[in-house]
Amino acid sequence: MTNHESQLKLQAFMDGELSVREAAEVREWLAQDAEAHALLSELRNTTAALKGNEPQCRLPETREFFWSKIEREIERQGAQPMRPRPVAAGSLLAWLRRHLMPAVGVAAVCSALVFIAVRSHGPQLRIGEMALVSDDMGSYTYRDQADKMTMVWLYDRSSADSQVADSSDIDNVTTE
Amino acid sequence: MQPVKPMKSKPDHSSASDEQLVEAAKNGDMGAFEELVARHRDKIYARAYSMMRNEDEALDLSQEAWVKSWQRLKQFQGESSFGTWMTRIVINLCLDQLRRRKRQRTESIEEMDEESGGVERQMPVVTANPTERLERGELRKKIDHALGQLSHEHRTVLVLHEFEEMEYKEIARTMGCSIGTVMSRLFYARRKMAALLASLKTED
Amino acid sequence: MKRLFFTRGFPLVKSLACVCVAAMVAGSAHAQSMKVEAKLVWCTDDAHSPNPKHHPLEADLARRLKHSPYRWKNYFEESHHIVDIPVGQTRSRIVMSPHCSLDIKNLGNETVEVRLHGNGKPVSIHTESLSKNGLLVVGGQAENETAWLVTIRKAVPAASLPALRGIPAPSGSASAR
Repeated sequence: MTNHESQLKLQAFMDGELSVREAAEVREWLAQDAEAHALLSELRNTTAALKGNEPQCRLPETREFFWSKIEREIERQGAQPMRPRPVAAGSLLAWLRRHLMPAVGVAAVCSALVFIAVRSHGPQLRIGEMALVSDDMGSYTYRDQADKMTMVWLYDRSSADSQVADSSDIDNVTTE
Repeated sequence: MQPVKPMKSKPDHSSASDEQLVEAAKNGDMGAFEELVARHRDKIYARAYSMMRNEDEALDLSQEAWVKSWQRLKQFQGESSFGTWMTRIVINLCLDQLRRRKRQRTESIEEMDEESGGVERQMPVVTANPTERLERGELRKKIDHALGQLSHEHRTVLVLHEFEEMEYKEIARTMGCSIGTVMSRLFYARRKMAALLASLKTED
Repeated sequence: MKRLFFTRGFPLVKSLACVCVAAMVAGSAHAQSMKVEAKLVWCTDDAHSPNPKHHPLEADLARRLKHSPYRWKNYFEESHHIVDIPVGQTRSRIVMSPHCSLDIKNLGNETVEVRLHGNGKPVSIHTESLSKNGLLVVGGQAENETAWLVTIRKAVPAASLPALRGIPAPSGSASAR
């Protein structure tokens, strides 16, 4: 029982991550392989030891002091809880309105300049980069260099189910 | 004669449920939010500490998590408990911090060993239960000590699986890696933990 | 003097001519358009899709997707577009589904800028090179442990298929424009 894949299957069996059919196969295998049985016991002992025995620690600041820091930071950043934005935001539109509208008067000149700038300097984002329009969205980027594939996984930061409440906009996982 | 003004008393939030406090906080009641912070602050800090293993970082990240949760409170629809939602926020802030740290680090042989298992692959199976007959406080101390010796990758996957009770798929999404990587990391983390707990027993 | 001028000047003229020709060739190559293929894919662990319009995704693309951390047992194609985009131009509102549309800009050098819209609102912007069989995938979670993916890659002319192993024919595709 030295096969790593088999070891992981054994672990998945213990964690209840196998289908009924796969679990039955592992049970059969366990009945015949003492080494596998011993490994399962070790994994079970470790899991049992950890369950409900997470080290306890208390925040080393008084309630008042800790709260005062949070309160100050909240006040600094804006007083009210933000309203949810159901779909990716209009922040780009707001940005365009704020920054580009004053340029309408010189639109022809700007267009020419923008055209020249785009031709000579390329896009704002470099190749392989991405930007999210909404703060409510997060993303993971996975790159498979060998297969020339870039996968961007988008998620709603606010959704508890998504498990990702607040990660940076881009996280890169790259494989060779 | 001036009319006597009634004294403005601070509302008592201590008897309110988390759900009631969340609703009040959504309407801008900072007192209700403070009560939520007071109730869950140790748990949130403990989670940050278990992942970062550094008091200052854990303190900063838990504070940041509370500020973020205030900002995003209206997005919390009660699909999970408030405590779970908060824990997810702090976990993701910790993961962000660890990723930033990893990006600054150059890849070393030890890091490559993290994925492939390194020495854990050849470790003999720990046959006796090393935590048997240990008192809970003592066991927790040993676990804490052993967790401190794991790499961030191994510790995180162990914390998410054993303490947060996440499934493989959830962990993969949270950590931004494949299920295979989660399984592998969890396996080696458990094996290393078993060896560490066994060695701690013999040291005593 | 004339000869001297000619013998001295010719390399200069030749060099200038070469530069001009090279610039023209580069310019014409730069001005070439690119055919880009976009697909909306629904991912599930179930064997069948409840949507009768779905059909299984071509095997090669499914194989590539299965190499990512976000993998499912089955992939179904929901919609498929091939758009021809001249360099510097954008094909806007490529409707992948009632909720999802794309703007794709050809930035030249086989590079695209993709703007993803959800329910008509901008969600994300991506810049990616599609050269050498490059594939950009943007995805997100859907209900019941399913997911959707938008795949973007260079469309390959059917005639060149035998030479380029692994790139499926864009047969049966709907043209967005």
